[in-house]
Amino acid sequence: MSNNKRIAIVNTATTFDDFKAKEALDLALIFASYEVPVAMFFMADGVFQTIKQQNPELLGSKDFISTFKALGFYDIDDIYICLDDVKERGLNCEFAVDNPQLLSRQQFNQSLNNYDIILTF
Amino acid sequence: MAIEFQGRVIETDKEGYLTSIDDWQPELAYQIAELEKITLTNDHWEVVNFVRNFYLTYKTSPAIRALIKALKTEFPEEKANSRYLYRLFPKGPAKQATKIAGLPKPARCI
Amino acid sequence: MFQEFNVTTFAIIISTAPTDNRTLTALKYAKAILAQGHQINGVFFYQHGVINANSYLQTPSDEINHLTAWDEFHKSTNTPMHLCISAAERRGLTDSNSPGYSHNIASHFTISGLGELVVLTDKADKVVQL
Repeated sequence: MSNNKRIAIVNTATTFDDFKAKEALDLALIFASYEVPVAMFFMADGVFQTIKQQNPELLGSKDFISTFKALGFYDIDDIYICLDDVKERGLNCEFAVDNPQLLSRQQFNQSLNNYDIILTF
Repeated sequence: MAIEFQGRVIETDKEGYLTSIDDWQPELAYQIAELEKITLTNDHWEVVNFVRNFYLTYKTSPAIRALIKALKTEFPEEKANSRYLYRLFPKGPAKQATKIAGLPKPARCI
Repeated sequence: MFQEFNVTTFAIIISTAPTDNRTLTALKYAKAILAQGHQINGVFFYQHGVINANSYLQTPSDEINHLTAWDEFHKSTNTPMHLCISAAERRGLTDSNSPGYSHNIASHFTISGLGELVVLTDKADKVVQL
């Protein structure tokens, strides 16, 4: 795309909260396939999406969490996780995404400032 | 819709994509390919197997750019470019390779 | 003295169903943008927002009918209204009349994909998601 606006997809919902996570991911992949720069942000309950060893298929749900490992093929390399929110929820730091950047809440907010369009799910 | 295969009825959606990825086997791929007017060669098989493994690992059918980038990790440049893939799958590598590999239809938005 | 006025082009994303009050807020917001002399290059319906396009929606007569409200907005402003067909099909909307299906997408919507949203966001000065 001509203007090359930078897009931040901000995930605030848990993995299976009302399909938000899946539709956010679908949108990220589409922007990326049009060569628009996209970053994924995970904050608040959205950090639950990023934790390792989720097994959606046990619930009979589609395992789109495995798709996070393919984000690099879509040139989505900037993945930000709010570490304060991870700690608040008592989660450990093993993630379902490759090379995430773990940021304090303040750094997380500052990083968001680098994006032209912020879409929240 | 359905395909008859070795005396069994294999269910497909209205565009011919298998309803269940577990129904797939290599012999069935030849039959789906025939319906697509493609005669499978080793070159086709490399892509079909790659796309199927991609799906089984990442639970999504790759869009064309992602497919090319992923192919580059295993194949030389001359086999990981869009012209080569379109020569093998004239109606679109993402659409046709996934269909032959027994995978779900790529999302209509893509 | 003339005051300088910069026209801003907006793209609007509607994510909520007609049963969610934010949908009405979004419609009012869209109308306000145009009333102020700005432009909207398109309204894109995604997530539960696609339900607004279901032509079978029925509303008690003393409540706001979102179907006609969006239709009027479309007709009076010529604003393109795009529907993400993948999100719509998941929620029971279809543009098919093949056996077992009945086209139930209101005519004021354009059937689109997420690719259209990429184009809208590229061309807009501001993107607002409600």
